[in-house]
Amino acid sequence: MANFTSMLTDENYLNGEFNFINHGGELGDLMRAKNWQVHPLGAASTWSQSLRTTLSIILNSKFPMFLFWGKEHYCFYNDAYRPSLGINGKHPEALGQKGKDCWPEIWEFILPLIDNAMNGKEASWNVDQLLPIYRNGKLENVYWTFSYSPVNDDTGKPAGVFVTCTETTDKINSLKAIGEAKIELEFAIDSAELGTWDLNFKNNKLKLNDRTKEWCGINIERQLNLAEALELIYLPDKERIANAIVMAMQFSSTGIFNNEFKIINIKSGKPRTIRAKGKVFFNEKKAACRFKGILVDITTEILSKQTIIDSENNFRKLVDQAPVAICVLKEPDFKITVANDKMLKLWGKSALEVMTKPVFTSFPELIGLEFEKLLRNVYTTGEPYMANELPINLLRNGKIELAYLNFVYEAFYDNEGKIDGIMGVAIDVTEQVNARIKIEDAEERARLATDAVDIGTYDFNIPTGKIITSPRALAIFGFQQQVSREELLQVIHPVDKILQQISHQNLLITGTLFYEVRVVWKDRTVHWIRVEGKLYFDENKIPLRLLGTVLDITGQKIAEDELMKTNQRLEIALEVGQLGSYELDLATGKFEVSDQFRINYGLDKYNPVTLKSISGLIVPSHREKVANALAEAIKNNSVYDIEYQIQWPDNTLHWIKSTSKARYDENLKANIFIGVTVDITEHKQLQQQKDDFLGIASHELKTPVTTIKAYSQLLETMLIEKGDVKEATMVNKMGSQVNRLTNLIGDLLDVTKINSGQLQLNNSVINFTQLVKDILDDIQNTTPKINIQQNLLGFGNVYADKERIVQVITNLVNNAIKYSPNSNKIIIHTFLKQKEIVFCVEDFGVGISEENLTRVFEQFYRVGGNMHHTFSGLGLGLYISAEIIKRIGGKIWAESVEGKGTTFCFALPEHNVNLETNETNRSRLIK
Amino acid sequence: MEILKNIMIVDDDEGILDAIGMLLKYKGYKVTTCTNGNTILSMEKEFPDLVLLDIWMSGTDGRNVCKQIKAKESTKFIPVIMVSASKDIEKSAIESGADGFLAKPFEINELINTIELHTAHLQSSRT
Repeated sequence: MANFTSMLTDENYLNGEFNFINHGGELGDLMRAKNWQVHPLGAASTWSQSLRTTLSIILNSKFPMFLFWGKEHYCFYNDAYRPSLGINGKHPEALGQKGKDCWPEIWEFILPLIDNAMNGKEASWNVDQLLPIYRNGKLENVYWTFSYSPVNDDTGKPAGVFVTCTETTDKINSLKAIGEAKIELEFAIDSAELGTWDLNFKNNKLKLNDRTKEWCGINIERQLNLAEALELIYLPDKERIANAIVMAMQFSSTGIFNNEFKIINIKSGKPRTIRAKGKVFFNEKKAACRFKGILVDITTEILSKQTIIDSENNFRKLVDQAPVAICVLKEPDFKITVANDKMLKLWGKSALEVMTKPVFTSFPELIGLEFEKLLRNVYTTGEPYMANELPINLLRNGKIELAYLNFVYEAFYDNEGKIDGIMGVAIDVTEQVNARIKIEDAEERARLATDAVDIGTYDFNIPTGKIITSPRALAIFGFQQQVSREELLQVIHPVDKILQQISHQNLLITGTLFYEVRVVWKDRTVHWIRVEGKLYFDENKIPLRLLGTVLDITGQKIAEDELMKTNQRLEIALEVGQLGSYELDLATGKFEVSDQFRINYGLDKYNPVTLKSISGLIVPSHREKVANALAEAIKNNSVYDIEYQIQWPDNTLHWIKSTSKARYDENLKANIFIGVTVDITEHKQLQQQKDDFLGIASHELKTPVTTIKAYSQLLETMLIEKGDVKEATMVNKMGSQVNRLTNLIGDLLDVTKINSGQLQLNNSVINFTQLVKDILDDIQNTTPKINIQQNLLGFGNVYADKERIVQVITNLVNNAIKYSPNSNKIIIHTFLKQKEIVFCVEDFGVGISEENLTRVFEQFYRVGGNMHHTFSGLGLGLYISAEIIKRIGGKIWAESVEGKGTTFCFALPEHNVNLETNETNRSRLIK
Repeated sequence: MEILKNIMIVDDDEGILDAIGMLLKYKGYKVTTCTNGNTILSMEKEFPDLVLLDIWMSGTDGRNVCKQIKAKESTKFIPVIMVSASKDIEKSAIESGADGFLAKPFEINELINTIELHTAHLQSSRT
């Protein structure tokens, strides 16, 4: 088929059938290729010359052309016309097609035009006619400028219509776009409330838009020149703007003009800030020809800017003056942009140290901590972070202090509502927290105190009659669980019930409650309780609540009873013992005495009793002693125990024994001196009688002993002379026993003297070491079996009674010998130590147990009971020795290991040449 | 011929007078005894060479006797040795004018030494 067609075409071509269209581009090819024989117009060779000529013109023209031919308006067109048919439109089917079939969408419009031409009317001319046609797969709005003109056939009658046309769609669209752009521009200028100006330098005419004129307060009709326009500018800006225009007019300046200035409305005088943006246009000669631009009223903008600045300043002021610490951290690195003095103080930093620096640069210690995490969280989420009473160690004033802070970190938003930082507020609540802790402590202490003292509490709501009792209060009433008030009151002892009732009646008058009653528990036990309370009223003074405490005072009551009994016993004892009691207020000198005291002092109840009057009764020789003892007792908090003689008002002499003790106030100052006195005159007389008796008895004993001694010595001498050796030895032994008896009597006499304070010392300066040597030599002579080693290192004098020192040393040495049954050695030491001469006897005997060591110097004490001999047999030797040493002003002690031996020592003050000291010592010793 | 020293013993105790008297006689002294200090005070002649004077005597304090002996021109030259059961009394004995003191009971040598000490001048004057 193709071959056939091709063949035909070639044939047509070859036949010269289309000579009238040798070329004709694509459409030319299509014309030649089309099998016209099957077309109603028939083969091209049959076409009229008119048609052929017209087609020749059309196909060879570069101007878009179209032809409707014949009654059916068969369509022909050229390559130039083709684009108007679109890419996927009517081409190529349109070629040879009936007009009605080709242009159905516009046929109604174009048929009359075609008909007009066909009817021999003048050619039609349409400009930019909208003829929407179907092309490119859709109906498009296409604009055309076209002419329809008749084409006559060979007979001179119109046979077709020649259409020359130009699609003006692009032009129309451009025009439309321009129009729209202009409208838009005007709209934009209008809606942006812009002013415009356009200055023509050639004629110095300035075109201003209506708004600009309105701004300036000039009539819309009025025309201005540049000079006139400059007059409208606010005077201080005028010169600057004039210069700027001159500058912009320089070709080298590129003509750009951008300035802000104020203009003054000449009608209202109102200023308006304007930003002018424009450009100077230059001609080819580089001379300024036009100056155009827009004006923006920035008055509001400036105002808002000022407002923002003001607001920022206000914010900073607010921050600075805020009563709390505030900081603002900006940007992701948390630069400190704002920090008021309080925050700086809190940080302990200066503004210089921290401002504009990232917070973690100023506080590197916070890096990586929870703090950093929570800051980032606030920054990213906008959720505020709050922390209350955070304990923080802050370096303040150069030292670490524990502070409590309330923190709030909130996102800080910029003008656009975006987070651009964090505002931190810190409130130093250290004082509040400390105060609260104190209160809590106090409350806790009060609670603990209440618990500790076992106080029960209750709260009685008077209008409702309900009572709330603490568990302890219930327990005091003998209940384990909450009970009504009536039940509580029921357990009160029937006898005491009246006390409770009276107290409650008083409560309404005094507002306070206090009573002590017995309660009887279910188990029949009786307990004393103390109920206290306070009444609370409402604003109308109607009793509202009764709050109070309950205390179990059973123990206290028992103690009170005991105390009462004790006091009674004491009174009885005082009475029976005829003990006078007294109380001396040391501050005021007030002297309170009992009746018995008056009796003891021979005073009746009318005699005034003062410290002075009582002191005056003491015999003068005893006053100093009494005063000293009193001072000593107060100073040492020791018992004052003294016997002294008084002279009663009736001039009789009496002995008083006073035993007292000072009481001290909270500052350890003695304030009261309390004591008892007893008249010991009779006792003293008895003692005197006893001492006299013992003295006389010893004296009387000594007389016969002296007699016996004399006889025995005489007898011994006589027997020796007679040569009766055996008998002489016996008599000698008898003499020894008499000596022993003499010693015993001596001891008894000494004890009597010590006890009655009558031990007389005949002191003199003694060469102590020499004395020791002499005594030891004597003892060594009589006890040759014992090796008495002398380790005498100290040399010095003592001021003492020689006889008594001999007695003590002899006693100690003999003792050591006696108690060393299995040892034949004792060592005697003497040495000087701190102005004292020390004498020690060291034995290797039986020793003394630790608990007995302190008792060896007691009267009648005997080591080991009856198992051992004491040196004198009466247990008085060490007692007498100790007393003698004490009276001389020395001290005596013993050290011992049981089974190993004992060392007895005494020390005496070394006697030096200081006469005054000697005298003092002597007088003291004599006393 | 040796003249025996005349020792007067004054004591209210007969036993003492007998024993000490016997002892001193045995030791070669002439002994006079009396139970009362007044005896010596009333003596006008033949004074003893030494007096052994007991202090505690019933009714009399030896110290008073001593003071009187020492106060009297005719007797004050007689050495008085006071004797007492109490050593403590020595001081007051000396104060009352005694020339020596012996505490009862005493050793025989003690007695003799004391007597000899206070009668030594007689020895030399008489021999």
